[in-house]
Amino acid sequence: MLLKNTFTYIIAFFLITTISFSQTCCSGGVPVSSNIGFSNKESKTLQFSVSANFNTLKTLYSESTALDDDQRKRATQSFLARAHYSFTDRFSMETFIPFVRQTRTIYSSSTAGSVDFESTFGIGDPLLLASYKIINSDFKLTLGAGPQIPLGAFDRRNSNNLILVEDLQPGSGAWDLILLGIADYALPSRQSTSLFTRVIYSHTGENPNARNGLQTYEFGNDIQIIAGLADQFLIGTKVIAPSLALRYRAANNDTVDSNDISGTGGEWLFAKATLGVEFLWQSSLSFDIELPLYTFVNETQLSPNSIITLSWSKSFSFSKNEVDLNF
Amino acid sequence: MKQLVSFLSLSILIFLASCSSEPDNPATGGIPPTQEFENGWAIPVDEVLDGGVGKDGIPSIDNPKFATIDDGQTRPSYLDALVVGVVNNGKARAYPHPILDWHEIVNDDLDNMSLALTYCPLTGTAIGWNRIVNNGKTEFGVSGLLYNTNLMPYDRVTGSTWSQQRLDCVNGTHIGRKIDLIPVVETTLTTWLEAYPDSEILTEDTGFSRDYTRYPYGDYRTNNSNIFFPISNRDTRLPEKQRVLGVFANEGVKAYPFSQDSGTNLIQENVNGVDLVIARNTEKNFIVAFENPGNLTFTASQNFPAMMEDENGVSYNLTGEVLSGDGSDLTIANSFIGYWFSFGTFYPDIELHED
Repeated sequence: MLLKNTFTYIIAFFLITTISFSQTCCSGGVPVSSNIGFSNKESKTLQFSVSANFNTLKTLYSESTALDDDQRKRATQSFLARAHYSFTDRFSMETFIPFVRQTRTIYSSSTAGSVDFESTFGIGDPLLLASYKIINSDFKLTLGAGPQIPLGAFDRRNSNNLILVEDLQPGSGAWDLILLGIADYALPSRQSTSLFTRVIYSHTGENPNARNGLQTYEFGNDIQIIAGLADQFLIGTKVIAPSLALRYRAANNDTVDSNDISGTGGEWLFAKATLGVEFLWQSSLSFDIELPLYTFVNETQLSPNSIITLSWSKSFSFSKNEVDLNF
Repeated sequence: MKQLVSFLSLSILIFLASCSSEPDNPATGGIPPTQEFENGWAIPVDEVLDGGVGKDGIPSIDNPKFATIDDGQTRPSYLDALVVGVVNNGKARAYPHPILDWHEIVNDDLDNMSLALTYCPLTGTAIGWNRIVNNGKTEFGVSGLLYNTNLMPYDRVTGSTWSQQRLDCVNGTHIGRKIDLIPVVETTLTTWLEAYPDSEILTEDTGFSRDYTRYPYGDYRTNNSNIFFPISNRDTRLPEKQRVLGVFANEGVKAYPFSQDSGTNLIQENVNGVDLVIARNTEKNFIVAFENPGNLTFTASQNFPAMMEDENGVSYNLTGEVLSGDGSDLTIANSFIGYWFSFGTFYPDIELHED
C-alpha cells in the first residue's frame, strides 16, 4: 500500500511539474538551479555551505551537431555561499548568494595569436527559498518556492567602456521565481540507499532596463530534472556518500522586447556523479562532475563540456538530539 | 588686467578649438560628415553595444574560394537565394547570403581590386569597401560590436572600428575617414547568372565548420517587430524589414522600394542635383541605381540580361555594362540595399520614393 501511494505521488509530482512549467536560460549562467535544495534536517538545524562551480563551454553546436570549431570559449566560475535553516522537521528556509566570474575568449585564426578576452566578476542574484516537506516517511516529498532577487549588476562595461552582453553580466536585472520539488525514496531493502528526483523550475522575469534602459530583456524560463541513485556507507569513521544521476535541462529562448533571440535556449542531458565524504564536526566535502550526454541547442551556440563543483558544508544542530549526518 | 587675462584665455580656447584635429576625409558622396569625437568615438558610446560573440567571434573569410556554377560546388538551393555581385575588369563574382550570414565579411582580391564585402544580417546591408585605406592595404574583421543593430567592422592594421551603414570610421586611428565604396548589386543567384553565366561563386570551403543550410537568426528576416538591438530612430513609413535601395546623392539619401509593376521598371529623376536612373524588377529581384550625367533617356528592356536601352539604342545589363551599341558603361550610384528600418535609423531625413 505504501509503495502504491509512493508511486502515485511520484507520478503526480512529475505530471504537475511537466504540465505547469515551461522552460529556461543560457547554458553559461550561474548554476543556481542545480545547487539549491539542501535536504531538510531535523528541526533547528543550521547548515552552511560554500562551493565553487566551474562551467566550461567550448564546443560549438548547430542544434545537435558538434561543429569543428575551437575558436571560442565561455566559462562561468561561481562561488556560492548558502545557508539553510530547518525551523521544524518539515519547514525550512534557504538562502543562496552567488559570486560570479564570467569570461569569454575568442582565439582568432585571422590574426595569428590574437585573443579577444572579456571578463566580469561580481555578486550575482541571490535566492531566498522556503520549502516544506509534505510527506515524511520512507518516501519524502518536499516542495519549495522563492524569489531570485535582482541584486547583481547587469550593466558592466568592458575596458573600452562598452556595455557587455547580458550573458556576461553577473546579474539579470529581473525578479525570477524559483519552484523546487524534491522526492526521495529510501529502498526498503537498504535504508541508506535512496532514489531521488529533484525538479527545479525558474520562471524568469523581465529586465526593463537592459541595454542602457532601451530594451527589455528576459532570460528564457528553465526547467531541470535530476534523477538518480544515492547511497551512504561507512569507511572507518567516515560516511561516504556517492550518487549517480541524470540531469535534464530545457531552456527557452531569451527574449528582447518579447522577441526570441536566436542562439539561446535548448535541451541538455548530463551524467552527474557526486562523491561526498563527511568528516569530523559535522562537516563534509563533496565533489561533483557533470558531463554532457546529449545536446540540442536552438540554432547555433556554445555548449558545456564539463561542469565541476566542489563543496564544503557544515551543520549546527540546536536541538537536544545533535546526531546529524550531513548529506 | 583681469580683462586682459580673460581675453587671452578666451582667445587661447578659441584657437585650440579651431585647431582640433581635422581627419583626412575623402568623402563619399552624400554621406553626412562626422561631427563629434567624444571619448574617442564619433558616435554616442552608449549606443555601441557588445553583440555577444566577441571580436572575430564571427569569423571573416580571408581566403575565399570560388567556383563556377558548372563546377557543381554550389548548392541548388542557392539559385533562389540572394547574392551580392561584384564586377571588375570583366570578372564577376557572387557572394551568397547563406554564406555571408555566417561570416559577414569577405576579404577578397578581384583582379586589381582589393575588396571587403561586408554584410550585416541584422540590417540586411551588403556594402563593398575598398581595402586600400590611407594608401595601405588592410583586412577587415567583425568587431562583435553593433551600432544601431548594424555591423561594426574593424581593420586589422590599426584596429580602428568602422560603422558599416554610417560608412565611416568611428573609433581609432582612422576616425572620421569615409569608406571608399565599391559598387555591388544584390539579386538572386539565378538572375546574376543570367547576366554573368561564367561568374565565380563563393564556395562553402571557407575554412570554418558551419551549417550553411541553416539561417542563424530564426524569423528575423520576416518578423517586423524583431529588432535585436536598440535603434536611435524608428521610421514607420514602410514595414521595418522591407528591402529598399538607399541612394546617396550629394547631401541627401533617397530610398527606393521594389516596384509593384511586372517586368523592369525605370525611374529617371534628379535627386539633390544628381541625375539618376533606377532600374527595378521584382520578379528578378533587383534594384540598381546608375548615375546619368548625360541625362540620357532610357527605356526598359524586357529581354534580360538586357535591362534597358538609351535613346541611342545602346543596351545595358544589370551592372550598367554595355551589351550592344556604341556607348559607355554606366556608373552605379553610391547605393546599397538594406532593411527599411536601418535606413530610417541611420538617415532620419531620408526621402522615400512613392510610385
